[in-house]
Amino acid sequence: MGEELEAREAVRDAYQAHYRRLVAALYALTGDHAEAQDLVQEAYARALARPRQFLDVADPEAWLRTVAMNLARTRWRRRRLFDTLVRSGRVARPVESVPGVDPNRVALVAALQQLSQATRETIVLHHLADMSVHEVADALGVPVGTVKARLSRGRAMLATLLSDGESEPETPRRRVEAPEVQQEVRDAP
Amino acid sequence: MRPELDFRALRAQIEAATWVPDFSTLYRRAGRVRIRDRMAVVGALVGTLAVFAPVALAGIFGRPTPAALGPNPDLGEAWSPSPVVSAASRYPSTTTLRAAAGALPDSVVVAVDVCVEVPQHRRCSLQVTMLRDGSADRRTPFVLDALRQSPLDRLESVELVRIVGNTFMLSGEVGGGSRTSVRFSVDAADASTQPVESGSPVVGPSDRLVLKQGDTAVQLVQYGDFFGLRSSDGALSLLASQPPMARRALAGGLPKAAGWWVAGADLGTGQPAVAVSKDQGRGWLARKLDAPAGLDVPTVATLDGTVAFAFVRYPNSIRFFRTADGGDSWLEVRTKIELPAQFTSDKGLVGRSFGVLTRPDRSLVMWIQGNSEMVFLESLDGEHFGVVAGPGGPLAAVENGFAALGSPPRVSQDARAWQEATLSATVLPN
Repeated sequence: MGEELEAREAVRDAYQAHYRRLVAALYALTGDHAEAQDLVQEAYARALARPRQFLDVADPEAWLRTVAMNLARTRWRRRRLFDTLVRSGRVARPVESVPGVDPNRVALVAALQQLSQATRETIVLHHLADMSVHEVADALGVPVGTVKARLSRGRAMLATLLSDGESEPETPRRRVEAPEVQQEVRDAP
Repeated sequence: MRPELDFRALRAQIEAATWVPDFSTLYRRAGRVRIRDRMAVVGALVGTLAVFAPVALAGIFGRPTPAALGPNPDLGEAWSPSPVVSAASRYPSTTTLRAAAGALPDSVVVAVDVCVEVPQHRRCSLQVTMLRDGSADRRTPFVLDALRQSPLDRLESVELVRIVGNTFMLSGEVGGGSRTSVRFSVDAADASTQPVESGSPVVGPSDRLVLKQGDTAVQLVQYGDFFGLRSSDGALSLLASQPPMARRALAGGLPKAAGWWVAGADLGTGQPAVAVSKDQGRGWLARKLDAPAGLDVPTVATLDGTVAFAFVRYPNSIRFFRTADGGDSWLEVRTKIELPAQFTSDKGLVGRSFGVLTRPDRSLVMWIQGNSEMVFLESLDGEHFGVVAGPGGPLAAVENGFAALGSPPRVSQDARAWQEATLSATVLPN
């Protein structure tokens, strides 16, 4: 019983320490602030459902982020399947603006949504979760070279998208699907 | 202004804009997670059971058992001459001897009803196999699934008659309806391990052949016409003259020398009646008994055909008549048969198996199905009956002796000293 209480306290500490950072990362990944909060809360709820298991986790923030990202992937797949079945189209939700966030930052999040899922995850983990290239490679299960390539190409695409958005504000947004290098195609999850 | 890839500023602004809900709200959500996880486990278990349970059940209950399959010749398993081949079924099986014919000591064949006691669906198979006072010598019955159209059919009044040599006729009343008969041959030298197909149904011919002393009478249909069975070739012949009585039934198990005896009801009054023919059915001497109408037809016992007894069963007593002139005149024996208490209660005798036969020493032995076991009564003088120990089952007269169709079956040459006999293999019904 004492261990259970200790574990719950550990979850509470992680909640206070990492909640906002995780929401920021998930918002960048999903483009939906409410959904990002929901995903992070679900990750914490799962930790609280099995608090003793959470005690054994070496890096609570990484564990919670992985759970939240897996949840996001699952929801995204379901949404895509539903969309394919019902409308035979692709999911393209507008990025919501968040009160207190600069419109330029919102545009950055919107540009992130135009990237492929793998590239977006790589950029979010590296730039928003402050993970090194090696840590990202471990987290995503891809070679370091692939992570570097995705980061480089992703930044270039984001720059292009943001400059396009600046010069051609009337142009409808489109998903940028740059051809991935051979290695990335082979190793991407 | 051109937006920049300033992720730090993005993160800082989002963190600042994010309100942290109270931690306690997560407890309820964690509870839902636990419930969802449990439901997932239960669903997985149910799904697994739904897939594997039918397979497992089919594997357990659909698997043929070694007993049903018999010995495996590939493994060189020797056949064990067990009296009954019983499969280890879910339900218990019973083996009931219904009739016997043939001659002691080595050629008595018996009709055996093998039943699986499935609740509400008792499945039975009437089979014919050997009964010997030594070891069993057959691995399979001569006849399988005889008489019944369906294993669920009720079968009563089974009779087995030797026609000639190794040819027998098996008959019975199926489903409370008409009597049906099949004829089959038993080749004692047959070493085949396969059961013979059920015999072909016997259809009474309209031909009339010349019958001789020693030929027997058969009745193919309940209450129907009688046929003579020529012992020289097994041919059937419609009798020129039929006994003038209703509900007529051939009295079986009597010596050939005693003539043909038929029990029934008087055509005019409905009283119990007995008819006898000493000339192979050309003429009949029919007499009614001094008993009320509506009772069961009498049970006849005689050794020589001159002195005979007719037993009339009342709801809770048995009265009997005696003739000393071959059935011409019948007098009631006034000595009351003292029955055990289980038979003297209201309708204590109704529906019970009942029979009488005459021993070679002219004494009478009677059997009545009791509540738990067969009850035997004996009369040494043809007048006074007393309860005696018996062989345990209904008795059947065979050539050179008698068979007791109980469990275990027994045989005797004088119906006094009984020797346990061995029933050859039977098989469970499909």
